[in-house]
Amino acid sequence: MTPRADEVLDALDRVVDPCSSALGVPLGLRAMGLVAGVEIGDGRVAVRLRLTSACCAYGPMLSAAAADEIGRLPAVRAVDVTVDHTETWSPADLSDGAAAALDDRRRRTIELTAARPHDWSTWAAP
Amino acid sequence: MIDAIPVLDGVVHPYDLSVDNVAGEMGAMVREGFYGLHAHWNPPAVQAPKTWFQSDQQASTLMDTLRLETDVDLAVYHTRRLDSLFRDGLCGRAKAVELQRRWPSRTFVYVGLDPTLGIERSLAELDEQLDEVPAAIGVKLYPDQVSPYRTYRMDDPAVCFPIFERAGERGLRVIAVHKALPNGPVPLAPYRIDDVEGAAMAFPDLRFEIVHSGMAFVEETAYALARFPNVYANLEVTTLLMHKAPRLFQEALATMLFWGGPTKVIWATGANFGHPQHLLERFMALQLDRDLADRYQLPPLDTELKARILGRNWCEMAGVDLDSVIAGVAGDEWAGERSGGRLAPYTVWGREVGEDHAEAMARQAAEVGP
Repeated sequence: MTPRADEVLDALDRVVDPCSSALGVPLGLRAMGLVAGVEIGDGRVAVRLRLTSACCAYGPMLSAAAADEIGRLPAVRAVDVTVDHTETWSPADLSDGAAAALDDRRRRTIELTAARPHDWSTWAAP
Repeated sequence: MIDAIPVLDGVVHPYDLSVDNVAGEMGAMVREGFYGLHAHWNPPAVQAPKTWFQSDQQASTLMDTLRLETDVDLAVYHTRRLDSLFRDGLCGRAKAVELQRRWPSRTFVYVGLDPTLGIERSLAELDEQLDEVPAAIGVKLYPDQVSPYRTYRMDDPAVCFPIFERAGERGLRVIAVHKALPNGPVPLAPYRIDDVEGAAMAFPDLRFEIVHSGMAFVEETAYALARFPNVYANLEVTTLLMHKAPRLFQEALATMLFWGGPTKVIWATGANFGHPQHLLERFMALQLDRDLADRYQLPPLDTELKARILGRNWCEMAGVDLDSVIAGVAGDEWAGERSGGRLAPYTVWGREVGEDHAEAMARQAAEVGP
């Protein structure tokens, strides 16, 4: 027996990224685009994560939580989750749904706080 | 100066990362993590060897590094109060005193406070530090302490407002706060910037400087820049993204310029966390990618805008006449000694410790192995 890829990815999405949670839009690791790679074979799962920032202090916590969630899948015999610091995250890695949720939150923030962008029309072109 | 633009580095600090300065297990972890981040975020040519970095870095070494290896003209030192991680807070009061005493025309300092110690002690320490460095410009705060974990909000009238009132009475103009980058695996919420807004609203005569702007909560920071005339974005460590993740830097900068305009963003490298010169050169060469410039409808990053970010914005925030300061230091010893051309990165530090930088890095690589 070996776990299916969608089961592993669903498990990864049950681990919530702390930054998104702090923003009030809790997003799982897959939705945040933090899953850099998954290898599955013979009951073994290997996951590479990327972090939104190299200064992020939550890598060990996220790795442990991801391994725990994947380890609960019945067909999993061994799990290895690592943070790949050579991977660089960007907003383009967000899932469409996650990007839409964050856009919606930004829009609501702007509406609530009446923020207006700076008027650059008076800035002289070089 | 770089291309005739005066350069003010909005945060520099010689850390005391010596093992004797570590306070507790979390401090030891942060000490290791700090070097890991330094090595991860900087290109090899401007990484410091671990033995150099994890030492009591001297103010004179940093100032000589700035003077002889960079185009930095003026520098701001933030006294740090990470007391629960490092015995002297990591960048202690004595270094603020030394910088002001030895380089009064080239440096500006912020005193450091820990509001979790309570109002009475915070006010007493504020007065003590201002007696030590009467020309201080501002106060530096951190959102939390550990062992035991404790935090506070800057918009809490019972915790911070008496400090802000006293700071204003003593002539300080700026309240700077570390945000966006958690110091270790601690709760993230205090690193959001929403509490800055309430403080900025309550104290319109003070300026609030969000340090590490752009590293997280970019939109929230940018909205605060747009909504509050007295909120500013300090790019300390964020500037290192120009090497590590240049597109991310562009996106953060574009977002903050779009909302905050040309007067709100402040240059800083956090030296010795990064070496300023290559970052300055990258910034001078920087233009936003076409799609970003189009998306945000921003003009080209011209010389005038870069001059604002590289010094003029901080000076306006702090009430410092940049042109007068630059004119005043034009013929000083610093200006004279740097006229012979720039030294390679960390030449000065190598002389101080009696090692060649390249050889020390090679030795370290050999010790670590493949």
